[in-house]
Amino acid sequence: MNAWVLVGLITQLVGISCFYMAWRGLVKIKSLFTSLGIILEVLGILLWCEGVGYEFGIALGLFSIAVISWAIIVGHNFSEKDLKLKETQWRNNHPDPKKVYRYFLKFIVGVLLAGIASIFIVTLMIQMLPWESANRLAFGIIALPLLWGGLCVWSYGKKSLIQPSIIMFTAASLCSINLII
Amino acid sequence: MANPPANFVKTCAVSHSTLGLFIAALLYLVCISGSLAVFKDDIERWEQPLAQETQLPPISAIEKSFNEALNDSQKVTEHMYLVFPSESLPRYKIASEKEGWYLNESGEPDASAYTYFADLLSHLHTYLHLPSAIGIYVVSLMGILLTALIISGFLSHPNIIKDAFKWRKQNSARLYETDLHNRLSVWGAPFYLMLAITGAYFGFIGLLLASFAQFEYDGDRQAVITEVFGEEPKLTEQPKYIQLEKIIDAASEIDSGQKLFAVVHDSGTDSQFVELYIQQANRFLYSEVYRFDVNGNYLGSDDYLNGSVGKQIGFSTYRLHFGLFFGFSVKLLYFVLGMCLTMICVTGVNIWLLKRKHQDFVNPLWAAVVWGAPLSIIVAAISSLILHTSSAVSFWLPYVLCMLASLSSKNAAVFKNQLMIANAASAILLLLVHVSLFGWTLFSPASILLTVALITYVGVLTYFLNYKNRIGDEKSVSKDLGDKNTGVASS
Repeated sequence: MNAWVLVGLITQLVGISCFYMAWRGLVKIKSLFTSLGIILEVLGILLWCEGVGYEFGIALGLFSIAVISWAIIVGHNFSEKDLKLKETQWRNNHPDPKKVYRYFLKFIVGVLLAGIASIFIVTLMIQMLPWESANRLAFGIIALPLLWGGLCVWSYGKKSLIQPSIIMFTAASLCSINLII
Repeated sequence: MANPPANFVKTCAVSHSTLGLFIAALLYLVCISGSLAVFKDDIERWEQPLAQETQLPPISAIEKSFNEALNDSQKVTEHMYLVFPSESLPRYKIASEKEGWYLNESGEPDASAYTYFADLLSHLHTYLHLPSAIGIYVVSLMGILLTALIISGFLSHPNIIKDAFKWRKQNSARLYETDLHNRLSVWGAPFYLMLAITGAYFGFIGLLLASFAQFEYDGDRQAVITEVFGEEPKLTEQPKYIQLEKIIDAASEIDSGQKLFAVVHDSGTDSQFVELYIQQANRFLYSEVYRFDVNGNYLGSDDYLNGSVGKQIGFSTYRLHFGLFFGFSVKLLYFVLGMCLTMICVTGVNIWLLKRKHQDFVNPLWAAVVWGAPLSIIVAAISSLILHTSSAVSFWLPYVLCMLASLSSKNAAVFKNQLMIANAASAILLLLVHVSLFGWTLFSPASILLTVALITYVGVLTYFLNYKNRIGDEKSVSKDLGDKNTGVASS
């Protein structure tokens, strides 16, 4: 293994241990340990970059945080005690057509309408950017899932579908009119 | 930092659970197949372990075979490929758009390249076995909705930092599943967000490009493509014979990177030309693309290496999404993280099932969705090996049968155990089928990875089956395992 990567991994492990101590209340000065954890994580990623180049370094440095954290979680919560599972009764339930219908409507608004609105909004946005086509498309493809996902979350969280429908339909219409003229 | 208002948190939690339940099954299938598809090359080797890997043929012999394939009207298609050996697939392969052949040590096509199971798995991940024009959008939509789930997941858990290391294992099944779901989600979020955005890219770049072309280029998509990627060369009066060795020598002088494959465009016509894909060390870029005429004269490149940032981002997506960099260690990392995302899908639904405090048909059905998928994948592998087919039926038939069988079960825990036993048995059967077809090649370099993976899978299943029975002995769920009318709800 590349020495820079090994040092990077150790630095990240120490950084996550700092988070662990701060967030589990094992130290009094939580903010200091949290800040130290952040600094060490950034330093760990920089060491990764030194070892494998900045592209792979940033990606692998960020992904390895997950594995290190899970190892700490499993290590500190290891127990031989078994999980107590409760007995539950069987009921002969059937799908409720009203619920199915409501799910379908939510899908139409929260996924399809949100998708149409975000495609129009993103297209308008990238048309306004003063960059070359490839850069505008790259920006668009990163912005699209975030915007679409955000609209989806918002409309799925609403009890009534009327407000999200009106707002997203209006946004899509205004953007498309703007694009056409 | 002040906590967000309770109403906002509740709204996000409702959104997270509703959306999550809605897409759980499809997202689960995309995740499990994607985690396995990381090893596509290794699966391809395992499907044909007898192909030559140790003594690679000289380029001159490959050139002769490649030209023979190009002149064979039975084999030739518009695009013809020569795949160079790599760390994960150390074989030369000549391929048309329909089939492929591995080359022996003399450079002659020897064994047919069977990629039936590898293709079946990758089509499941990429298209869910739907027609490609629809499937790519459905799967990419999963990327969008995964982004939505990541956003709503973070917003609906105000204590996510405070609880970042908590895993309450003894209190209750629901807390166990909730903590597992949240811990796996929080720490793996950068990876999942990357998967979601790059996954959305594959389907929606076409739609965004069409929309962009409609308003910016009066609907002329080709104009956008030409501006971004450049124009294909227009050659005439090209000879039939392709000077492959000259092309490779010329390319090596320009770029010393890893050669991936060569593509002949317009094969067998007067306008044919060759593109050589060469991958760089330490870059996410899939490759730089160099163009040559059939005599080995350099025509130019696509200029991904020094092109615009947008172009580089677009062409880096594939390797980043599929973990095709840095060899086996990164594949293993992607597999582990991908399986964690798969577990998040499962635990998310388990939390909802446990909240209900009763069981109905959904519990065994969810067990069928979860445990029926790996079982059906193994059954599809067996049928691919024996029947030499990539038919989606070999996956979906057993999967649907599992779901139908779940409707007759009234205990999810018992049904899940039965499916786990079926999984272990089918994995052993798969190993036996491989031995019967290819002899004792299970521990050859071409097969060892999948052999070890299958044996490990059987071992893990056996451990968990014993673990559940041990819990049963301690009477915490003994009634659940024995009584047909009670049971635990999680899968």
